[in-house]
Amino acid sequence: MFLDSETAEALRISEYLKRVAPYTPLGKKWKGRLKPYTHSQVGEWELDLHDQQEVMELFSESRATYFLTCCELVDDIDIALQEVLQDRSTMLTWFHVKRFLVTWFRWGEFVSWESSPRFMRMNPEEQRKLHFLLLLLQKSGRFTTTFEVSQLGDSKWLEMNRQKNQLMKEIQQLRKERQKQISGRLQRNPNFQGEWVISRHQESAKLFAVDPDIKLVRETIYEQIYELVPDKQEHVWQEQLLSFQEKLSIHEHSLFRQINRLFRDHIPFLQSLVQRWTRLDLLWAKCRAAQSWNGVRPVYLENQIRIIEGTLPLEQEAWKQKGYEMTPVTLAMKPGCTLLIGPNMGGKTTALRVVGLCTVLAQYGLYVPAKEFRFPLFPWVRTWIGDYQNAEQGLSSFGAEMNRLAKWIDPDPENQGLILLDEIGRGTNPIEGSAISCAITRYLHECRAWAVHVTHFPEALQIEGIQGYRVRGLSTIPKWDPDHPNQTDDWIRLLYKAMDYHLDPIEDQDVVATQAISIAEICGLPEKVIEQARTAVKQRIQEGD
Amino acid sequence: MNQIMKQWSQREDLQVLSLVGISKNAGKTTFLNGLGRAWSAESVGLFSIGVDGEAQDVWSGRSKPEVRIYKGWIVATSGICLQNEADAWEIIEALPIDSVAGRVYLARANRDTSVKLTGVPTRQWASLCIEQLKKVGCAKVIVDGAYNRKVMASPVWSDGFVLVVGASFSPSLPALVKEVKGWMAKLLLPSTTDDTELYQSFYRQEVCALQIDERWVLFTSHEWIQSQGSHISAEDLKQATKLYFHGALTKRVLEQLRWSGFTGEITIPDWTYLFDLLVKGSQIQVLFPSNLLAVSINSTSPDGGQVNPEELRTQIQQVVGDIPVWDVYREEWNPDVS
Repeated sequence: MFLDSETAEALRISEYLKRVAPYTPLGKKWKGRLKPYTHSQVGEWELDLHDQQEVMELFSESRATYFLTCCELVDDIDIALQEVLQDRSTMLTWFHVKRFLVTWFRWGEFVSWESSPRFMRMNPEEQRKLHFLLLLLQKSGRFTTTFEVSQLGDSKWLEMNRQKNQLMKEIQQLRKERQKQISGRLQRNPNFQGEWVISRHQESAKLFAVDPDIKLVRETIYEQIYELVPDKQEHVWQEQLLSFQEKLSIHEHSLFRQINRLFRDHIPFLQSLVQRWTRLDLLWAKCRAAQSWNGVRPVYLENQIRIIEGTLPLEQEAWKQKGYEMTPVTLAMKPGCTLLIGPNMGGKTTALRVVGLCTVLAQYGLYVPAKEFRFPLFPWVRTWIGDYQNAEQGLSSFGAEMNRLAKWIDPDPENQGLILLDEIGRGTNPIEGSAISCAITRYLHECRAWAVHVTHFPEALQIEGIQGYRVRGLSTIPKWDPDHPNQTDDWIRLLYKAMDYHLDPIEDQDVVATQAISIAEICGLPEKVIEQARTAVKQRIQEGD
Repeated sequence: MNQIMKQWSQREDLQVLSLVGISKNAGKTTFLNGLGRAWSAESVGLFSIGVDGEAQDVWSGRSKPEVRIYKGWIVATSGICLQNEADAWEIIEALPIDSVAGRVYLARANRDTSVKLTGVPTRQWASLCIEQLKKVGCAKVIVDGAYNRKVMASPVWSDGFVLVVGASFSPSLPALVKEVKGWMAKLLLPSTTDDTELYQSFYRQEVCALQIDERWVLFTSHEWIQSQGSHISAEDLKQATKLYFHGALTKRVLEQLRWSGFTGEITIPDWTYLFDLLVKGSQIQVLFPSNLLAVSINSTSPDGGQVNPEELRTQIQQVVGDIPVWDVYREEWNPDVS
């Protein structure tokens, strides 16, 4: 499994993928089946990204708008093609098929094949096929997105239909004339349905009862209802009409079967059109998502991860509303464990998330929120960010941590995924916690696993050859002012202003940050607590801890 | 009758017309077919709203009558209803709407024909149907309301409606007349004269508002229902002189207001927000007055029972005053008009 649910949740992947919003029903189906590329699919992955680039270059505003308009006409054409394949086509089938083909035709006219993305281009043979199929459904050649049987242009059907309609008109006219005569005779018009509704108590009821041209069809305690008795001519015409309707229906079925047969020969072509349109829909959806977070095309790099100015767009948008700017993350890492150290609230977990997000989005074939991103493709990604206590399973934070870690650590060099760890070992006593944290870091480093570990334990820095980054930290320590009316509310703002979130490579003499008490002070802990904490730290330093 | 129907077709302010029955099988389709005859030459769009949509009525199991359609009319109905007479239809659009009987399509009639209308189940989709029918060029849209779906007759959605009164409601003439009286009491609620613009802004915001002295306290109908009115202080309710209620004004809400000591004037958006019968003594007015155009009566019930058609017409006319009352099945059709 490329991502487990905890990792997906920690990186808010579903929220990002929501921005990939295809227009068509099939596009949405394809999106539902979206999977990350594996490390054995580098070629396909690069093709996906290349096609997105091509689409972005070709899609001007007018083309993008036109594409949306076209997509509104593209239904779940798969179902229609199935009906054709199974010889179950109806008028609605041909409506959907025709609309789809007209959409392609109009796209070609609007954009021109040369200006279309490479997989959308139709060679002359395909263009001829498209035209041929459209003419089967609309003989006139003036292609519309509607469908009616007359558009097939079958002369026999057209003539039969004309005759049938003519007959219907004549019957209607005949009845109208006869009704007029009867109305004149009986001094009463029929209702809108051509029936005479007569109250039983009316004098004229007797006349109605004996008129030879009308018959009683219903009666109640209050009234009687009469309708016209068809004369000989009408009988003849009604029989002819029935016969016409039957013949017409049979001929229609035969027409649909004929069209069906002709189309079945071209099903592979039609299916390729469906795939190509759906592909474009999905690609353009990916492009729009990438544009929403100013994405850059990721690049394959075998033995390094390199991020230049990576961000978390969702968090960035939220912070912007509060008036904060996110400092982009820039770092590079090789196989082996990379440490991230720095003061609390220094953005270490954010940096961890940036690495995770860029990697996952890139592997889904998406542009990533960075200025540059290079990486190898991973078989899986796992994060430990947050508290995964699980009371149901009886797991404490520590227990959950160990339980998950045990599943990830894999000595097999062929199956090294990306592991992102946030302060392993904090959930237990500091001595053992530090020991476990350090041991895991060393193990991952020696296995040359791809891992990033945020830690406050200084022992990790002693591991030979360990690489890492430190947050620059608080440049000045803001003063706690108990008289400031909004001190408590503004502590985040104070911290934000004072903190330098940039990452610098760890150097040999680096130690873990010691600004926790200052940060606690900014957060508003009582002065007495802060003083006692500072005294305790001094004491431990003097004792050599 | 058909003269007036013809005049309706020429009114530019009457673009959407709804049919509402006081009961199942009241005779809406019969009226619709009568109206259709008068409007046969017009550019008309037509659909049905409600859960009933199969060939047989899902409530009663009876066979649903077909609606007469004229050449050039456009209907919104499920595809399955269009397939029997392929020559009669030009399929022009597939709507993103699923009725009980499948996806809904817009189809133009190539000749005079008949069709069954499957109901569009929600108000939002009904609104989409109206929009799409207008988009394809229909000058008039008729909404055939299904059982208990009076919402489309709101003046917000339609420009006029016809109330259809049928003996299917009751075989008793007095019971029928009493029911119509109840409907008319709602339909004839007075409209606002003061604060109309203010009420309109509350309407647009979809909030309720209570006037206490010079100030207005805003809240939602949901808050009222959740708290049963207790989120407003008893003192405020006693002092309040006006209430705009943007929600279903039920008997329960009216009683809660009365118990709280509120004696002021109540305004609701329109008559379709009033549920249950009016509680005596409540001063209720509407922001948007009803636009009842006519009452259509049907003295016959599908079971074969019948009330005296003449008596029915006379008594209903007495209740509705100047509004035309038509027995479309019994009216003579003037051939010179259509």
